[in-house]
Amino acid sequence: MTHPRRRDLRLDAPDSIGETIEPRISDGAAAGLRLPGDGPDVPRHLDPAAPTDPPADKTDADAPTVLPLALLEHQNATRPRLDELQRWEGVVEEVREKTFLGRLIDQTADGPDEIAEFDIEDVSPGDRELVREGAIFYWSIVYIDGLDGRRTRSSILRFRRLPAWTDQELGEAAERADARLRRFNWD
Amino acid sequence: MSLIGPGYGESIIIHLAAGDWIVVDSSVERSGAASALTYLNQIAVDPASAVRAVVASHWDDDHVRGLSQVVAACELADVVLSAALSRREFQILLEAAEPRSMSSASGLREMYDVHSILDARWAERCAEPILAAEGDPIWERDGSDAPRCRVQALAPSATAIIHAQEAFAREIGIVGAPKRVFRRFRPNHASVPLWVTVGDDHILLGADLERLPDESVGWRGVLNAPSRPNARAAILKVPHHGGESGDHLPMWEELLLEEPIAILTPFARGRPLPTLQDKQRLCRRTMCVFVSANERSRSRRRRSGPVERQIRQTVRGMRVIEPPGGHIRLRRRIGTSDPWSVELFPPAYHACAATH
Repeated sequence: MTHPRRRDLRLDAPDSIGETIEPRISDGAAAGLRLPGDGPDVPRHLDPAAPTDPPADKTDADAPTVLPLALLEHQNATRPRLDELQRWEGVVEEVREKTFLGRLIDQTADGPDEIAEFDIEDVSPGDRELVREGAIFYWSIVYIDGLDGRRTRSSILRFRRLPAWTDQELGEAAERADARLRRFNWD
Repeated sequence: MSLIGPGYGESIIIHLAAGDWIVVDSSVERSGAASALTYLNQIAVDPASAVRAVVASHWDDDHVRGLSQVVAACELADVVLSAALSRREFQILLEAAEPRSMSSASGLREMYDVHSILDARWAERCAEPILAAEGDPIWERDGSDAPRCRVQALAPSATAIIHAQEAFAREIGIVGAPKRVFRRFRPNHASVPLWVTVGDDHILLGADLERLPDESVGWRGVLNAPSRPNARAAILKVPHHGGESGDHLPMWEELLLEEPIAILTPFARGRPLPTLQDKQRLCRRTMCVFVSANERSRSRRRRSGPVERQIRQTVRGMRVIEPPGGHIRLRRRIGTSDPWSVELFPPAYHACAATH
């Protein structure tokens, strides 16, 4: 079933929905959003208030917090609403002087991987040190429905900041590696 | 012999005669299915019983995507890995880089999945992978009932394995340091080029081996090795997608017949390979250069109007990475003087016809 809000859009007549264009907005914060935390309308990776360091044990099975209905209604009434149209996971393939090439894996629909050239200046200043070959980022295209009823289309680019290695992680990895070396007589 | 790619990656499927097959590396179609399995299915070959060995020439994601599917389907095949991957440093890297912390498109993640299958097979029937290093035989058949066959690794040398081990060690994190995403190593010291002999025919599969200054690694190492082949091959799978760094003139002069058939898949990410200069250089060596697909995809995926408009406003350019995969098939009747037949399934093309 198509998302009803998207289906209702007149895609050939953007003015009819009062659409405004925010060119090259690369960060939710730049769009004037200060969203307090994960909510039903704000995926975690889009939330500028959420830390970029996911816990090491974060899994897809981590369910969003279940909030009482009254609280949800209150939050919906006091927050801008994000409607995600498209999302990619990206991997930096090559960093050039002012741009980088990112391989994009579509997270919205199946399809072949793509590659795109982004301006580094479109990356949030706090994330620019992360723009290295192999870095993982997320790119989303969203509608933001503001509290004043104004709709803005925006592009959100956020880099994944991987957590630090812990002694336990490296120790366990070494144990598993040693077990395989013994299993296959690779010592 | 078939070379399929890119789709995503490259895959080589060789009939070693007498119903014995070998698969080297893997590519996937846009559906995500492994190209080698699709092809074997099309020609009614059962991978579970007919494939004798599955070889990972190295673990770059453009060579191993879908390899775990191939390994799983080829139930009786030996799984052949570079000896460099048996080093403790690589295994720690593999185990430390848990799947959750990797991109879904990571070559290391594919190798993690392959190792999971290897672990399970060891538990089931004590099946161990085969390690390939310079001079090692990978698979052999004597000539009693079928043409003699031998598949031999030409690298990595002992020195190359040490270099690879050092590179792996540098990638292992230290406590407190941020995790990183693991990607390709350059140069790829762990790469496994193969020499395939069936009857009197010889094939050189160049993997991604490069030309390096050290006399004991890369193509110089292959030519200096005591185990180097003393025959000449009629077919070359061109190393490193035709890039200049994989080209070594003495390799052409000493290991290949005159006017060999040179086949390659393109590399379509970042700076595409082969470049026009690469193709011109290759076509000076032999006029029989065939490329499995166009090196640069020009296709774009189309999305809804608002998404398309935002894409145009955000990025300088965007395209599908991998062009549609093509297929080069080379056939020859064993034990005859028949010439090799070359079949090109679009978009595979004859590079020298296009270049001149």
